[in-house]
Amino acid sequence: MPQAATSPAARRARYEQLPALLSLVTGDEKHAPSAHSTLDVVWTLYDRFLRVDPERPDDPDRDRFYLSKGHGPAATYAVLAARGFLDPETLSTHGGFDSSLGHHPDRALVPGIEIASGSLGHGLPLAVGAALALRAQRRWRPRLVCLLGDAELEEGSNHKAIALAGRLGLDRLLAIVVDNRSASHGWPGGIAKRFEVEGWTSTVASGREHGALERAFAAARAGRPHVVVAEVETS
Amino acid sequence: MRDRFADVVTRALDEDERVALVLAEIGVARLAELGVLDRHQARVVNVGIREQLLISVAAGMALEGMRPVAHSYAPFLVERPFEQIKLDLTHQDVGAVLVSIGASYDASGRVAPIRRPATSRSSRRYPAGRSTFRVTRSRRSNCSRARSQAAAGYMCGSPTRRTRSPISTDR
Repeated sequence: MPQAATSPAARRARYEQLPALLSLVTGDEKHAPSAHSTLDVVWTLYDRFLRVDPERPDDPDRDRFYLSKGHGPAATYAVLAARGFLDPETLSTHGGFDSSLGHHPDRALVPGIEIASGSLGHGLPLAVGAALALRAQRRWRPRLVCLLGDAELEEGSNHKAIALAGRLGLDRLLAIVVDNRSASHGWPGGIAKRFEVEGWTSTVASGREHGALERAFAAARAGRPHVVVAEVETS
Repeated sequence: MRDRFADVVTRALDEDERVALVLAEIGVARLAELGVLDRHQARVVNVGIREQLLISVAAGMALEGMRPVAHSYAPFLVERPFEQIKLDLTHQDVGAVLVSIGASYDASGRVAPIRRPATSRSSRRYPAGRSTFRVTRSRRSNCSRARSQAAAGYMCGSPTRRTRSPISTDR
């Protein structure tokens, strides 16, 4: 499967298309990408990490990206359009009555969207099940990437998934927690610690620096699931 | 019912490699006795006492093309993880077979009311959307005890209706 990776200049040019694509989704020409906490994480995943191909969205050996934080899909829609999964023109239909691009993404309607999401605390538990299924089928190539938010982590269902994934050593699983400090009650000692104590490896990185994110994604080790805490500005 | 379920699901696991069994402790001991946990290590998952995860893991396996069976006491299988049934199975457009115990006769002599389901059979059919969801009743697992009670006029899985035979009420 082709990676998008080419020269740094080409990458930069593609990245610079994103604000225009985002404005199609949001309908707001002045909407700065910085307002989208997940934009750089999702971009870096699709630009440098995920082995996915818009020509073969159902390839059984593709990497799976589960957007658990599905209440804010604008950045993901924009990146999917930039990567060729969506026709950029469909972005402007977002939220319309007969649009495939809902305010919450739907796997049955949008190529490249792996799960329907929007209610919090569902993506990581689903990803654990999918990782177990891939293991049972001896399909070792696909990686499962699940993106969630620091406030979403308050849902108890995540902690069941964190415990089981760690104990079963699901090393094809990568969780990314975008941390904009929006959890009302915070995480004393840090988010990464919640994962580490259950057997995960962890990396904390800036959620805006593409190179740092790329290294953080790749820091997984055999036998253990990996979490990247991507810190972004407080919104 | 527990023994019968163990026998039936063991056969399903032996015969079809797409079948997976997800448990939340309930049933683990019996299946271990039968050697199923060793024989089908990768396809039998005990998630611990985590019933929301029980359904989500089954749904995640279904997303990857497997045919998961999830099993526990009826309230732990349906009521506690109700949103997982609604969103992780139904809304994702994937299926699983949820097999309860204790819905009525199969454990009624020894199960306290706290472990019985509060919902009626019809309300357990509620989260139906793009795919049809139905609680599997004990009769479908060929439960001998339920069968004998069925012969007495009971419909397996429903403690409230007596008039229709289990055969004619199956859908």
